[in-house]
Amino acid sequence: MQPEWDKGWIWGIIIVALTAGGVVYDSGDPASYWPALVIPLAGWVLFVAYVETQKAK
Amino acid sequence: MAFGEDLHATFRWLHIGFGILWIGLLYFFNFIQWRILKDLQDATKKDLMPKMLHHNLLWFRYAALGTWGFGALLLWDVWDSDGYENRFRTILIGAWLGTFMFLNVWGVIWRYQKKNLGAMAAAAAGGPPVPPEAKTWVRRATIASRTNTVLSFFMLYFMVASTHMSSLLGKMGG
Repeated sequence: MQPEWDKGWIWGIIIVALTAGGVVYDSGDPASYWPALVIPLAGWVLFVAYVETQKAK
Repeated sequence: MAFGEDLHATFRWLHIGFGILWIGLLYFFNFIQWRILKDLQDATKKDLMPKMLHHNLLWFRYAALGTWGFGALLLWDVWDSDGYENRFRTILIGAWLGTFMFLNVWGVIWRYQKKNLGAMAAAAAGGPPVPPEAKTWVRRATIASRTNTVLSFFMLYFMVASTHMSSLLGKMGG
């Protein structure tokens, strides 16, 4: 396996799941768009936080 | 449509054109380039890498910018006409994934590869050698690049599904 593919798949699936989940869960009510905004962004923020902690092996 | 049909079609053409360039380069990096580089002699690699990375990343990051920029205009246009219908929600998932990929290109991959390129250029010009932290920079950029490759499969699916499979979100329970 190429280096780091495992991380790519794990984080890719986490981000996709949170993004699709947030958008599907959102009711579409203009007064409360937060699930479609906050849940996808949370996944990406978690990813960046993870990447920033990684050091050379 | 806020822009009218002609402008919408032009933006779509540019969005797809830049997208082909961006994702084509992403797949080149992740599926082809590393296989070639790992078999090269160190001296060849040292000579080739800064030049190749410079040009590849220049086209790569501006292709990402073009794709995202025209995509944002299209999304605004679709929002205007579709509201929060399932078709819009489906493309919103693709748009979020494309946005995260775009942010990863400029905020992670390019941020670290720029440092790496600078260090390689300084070493080549007789300055200090490439520091040991460069391995950390490359590793972080690589994780973001692999994640972008995986995200691209899903991003393309949701982008295509929004036009050709508008019932997708109904099946997902949306």
